[in-house]
Amino acid sequence: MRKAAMFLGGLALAGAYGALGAAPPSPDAVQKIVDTRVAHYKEIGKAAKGIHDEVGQDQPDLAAIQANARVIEALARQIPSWFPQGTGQQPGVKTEALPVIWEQVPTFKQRAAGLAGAAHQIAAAAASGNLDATKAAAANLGGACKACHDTFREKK
Amino acid sequence: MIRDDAPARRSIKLWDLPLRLVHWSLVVLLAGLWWTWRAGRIELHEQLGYVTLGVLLFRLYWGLVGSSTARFSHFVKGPREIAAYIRGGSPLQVGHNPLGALSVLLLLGLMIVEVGVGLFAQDIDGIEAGPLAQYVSYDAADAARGWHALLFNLILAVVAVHVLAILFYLVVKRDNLVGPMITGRKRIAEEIQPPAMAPFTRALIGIAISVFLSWWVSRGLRL
Repeated sequence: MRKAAMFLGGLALAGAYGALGAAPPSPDAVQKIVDTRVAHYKEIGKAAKGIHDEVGQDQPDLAAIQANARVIEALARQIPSWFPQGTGQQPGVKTEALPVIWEQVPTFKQRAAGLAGAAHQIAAAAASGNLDATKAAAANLGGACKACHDTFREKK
Repeated sequence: MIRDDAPARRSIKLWDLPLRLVHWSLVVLLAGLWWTWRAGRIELHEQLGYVTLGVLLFRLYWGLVGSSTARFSHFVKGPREIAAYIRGGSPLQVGHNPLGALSVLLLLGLMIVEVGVGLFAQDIDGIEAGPLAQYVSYDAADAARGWHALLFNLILAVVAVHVLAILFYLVVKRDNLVGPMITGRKRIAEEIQPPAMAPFTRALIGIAISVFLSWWVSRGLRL
């Protein structure tokens, strides 16, 4: 499943190489891939905010938390496919994705899976109706984001 | 203007203790807020932000009911008086002069907006967020983060102008403004009415109000 996603991502980039696959993709083509993944990360951010906001309420809406957690889980499983080879930092491309992503692919995938797992636990806890467990699970979400960003995203 | 042979220069109480504490705590807080942000100590940054909010709220309160030199009604002047001061045609100033008042207003205003925006700001992951970010959209909170960073640089620029102006008074006008801001007292030759100092109990009331409001905001406006 994840391999398939990686493969599809590769295909998308191969498409960008052009019919003969001779020339490397133009910075514009790479930037498009970067922009798409940034948009995906913003969806994750929005869902994370949704969870965070609910957890802070006096009476959190568990259904809303569950829905947002499912969104994050689904997106997190796609993360490796958003980073095909050759979409890192290069002239003409603006991205915070560090080269270490492609040097440590197994670790990178593991961290992405970590986020999916953290989101899954939130969804499961919310589905069970246990507020305390939901809050505890939600508290781990930030750590899952950070675990990846500390290593693989450029610090500003 | 100030001559060494001036007769009987009196020492007057110019700045009260609460005002001086506000001033120097803002200096320390500004440095601390910058450092905690650089070091990624976001929780500490937020806590310092709440302290700053309290200090600023107190300054607003003190600007209404504090000692005369702290009151906005005392030092905020219109363009005509500011122009007269620049030309050197205005009488002796006790407290902020009409031009310096602009610097006070600008710095206070910028810091209030900066803290206010920070309350709505969030990191890009939607996790670390100001206590009021829950009331706005992800995009708004994301924009607040950008403004929060931009405004800080603006504050630094105004602080630089503020410090340069103080140096100008020290070197060119031979008027040490820093000393009185530390000791609260200034030696003045002219016969003037000393500033009216507010009682300390009034400051305590303001501190209580500021601490409560800041705490309430830090809890996301929930008691």
